Amino acid sequence: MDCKKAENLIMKYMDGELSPEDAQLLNDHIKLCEKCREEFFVFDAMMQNAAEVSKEVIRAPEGFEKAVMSKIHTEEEKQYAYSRNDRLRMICISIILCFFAIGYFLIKNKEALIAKLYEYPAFAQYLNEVVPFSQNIQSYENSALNAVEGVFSYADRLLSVSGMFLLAFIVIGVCVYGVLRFRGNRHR
Amino acid sequence: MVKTDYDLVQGAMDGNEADFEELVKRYKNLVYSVVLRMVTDAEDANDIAQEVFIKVYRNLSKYSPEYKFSTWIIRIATNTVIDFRRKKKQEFVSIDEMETELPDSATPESTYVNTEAKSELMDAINSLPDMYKIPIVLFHLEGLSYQEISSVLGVSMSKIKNRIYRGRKLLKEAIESKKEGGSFGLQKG
Ligand SMILES: [Zn+2]
Repeated sequence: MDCKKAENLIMKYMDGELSPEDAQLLNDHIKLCEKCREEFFVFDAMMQNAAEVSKEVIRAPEGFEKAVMSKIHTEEEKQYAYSRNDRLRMICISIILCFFAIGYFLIKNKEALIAKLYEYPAFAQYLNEVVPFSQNIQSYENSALNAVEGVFSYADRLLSVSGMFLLAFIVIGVCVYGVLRFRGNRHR
Repeated sequence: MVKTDYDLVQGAMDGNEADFEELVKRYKNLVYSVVLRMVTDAEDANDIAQEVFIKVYRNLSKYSPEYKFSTWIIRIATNTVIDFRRKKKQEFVSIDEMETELPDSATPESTYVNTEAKSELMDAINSLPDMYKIPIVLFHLEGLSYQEISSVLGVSMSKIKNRIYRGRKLLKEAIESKKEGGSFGLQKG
């Protein structure tokens, strides 16, 4: 048997998988070969030391689980505060989007809505009372409305289909809600 | 009735903290010992071991009962040690540089008692690169099988075997060069 094979057997010995036949072979070799004998004894001493080390019982420091649990608590609190902030932010965004969408809808269908409201006598009377007053501030209102309408009609042209605009708001709203919800729930 | 590890995992996922605390109690010594044997510094080991359990807590839903819980947790522990070392490497000198310090040559050969041989072995193990050190620690000090180490590290059995063989030779070289360096100041050819 050559030294290469002997070395393999030494490795097997360290694996704890040396068969009695192989043990005999290795024994025969190291009786004759000084190099392998030295090697075997160094490895054997190493294994014994490793066995000693592995027997030593290592204990986690005092209060270990308390420390872990309190870290988890702080993390959960942070997580909670984070998700609460997210929720607040989400509500704010949703409200703004709603106002925007409703405003857009009202301005867009202003004439049709007023015509519709005139069908109800009570409203017609109310509107008649309000209109002269509102005509006083018409000049301010008009310029403001024109500006707003200018923006919207531009956006309208941009998107070509007016419904797309509203739809876009809804899609954005749903996406924002979805993302925030997912982030909030991920660590639960 | 004693709850199984998987019972505890499920309890913890349902928000039962006592179940998670029980898991920590069961595995804290294993995790701490694996980590300490890989990093040697007790304070670092404590920080890393705590981080391991926080990772476990966050990833409970990923645990599958087809693996032993100990295998799963050792996997997380080794990954955390590797991450830690990666971060630390940028801050401090490498392990190879630390190895060059000579042992106390005034120590007479005869006083090399068992504890010294053991600490010598641990020094040698710590001088190894992670690639060899981690399988060596898991096999020789933690008593895991090749099969288990393979699933812990996600590396094939034959590769693990090669690394352990190579690691042992490196250990022997480290121990020998230290001894010779200590008594003669030079390494024998
Ligand atoms: Zn030989």
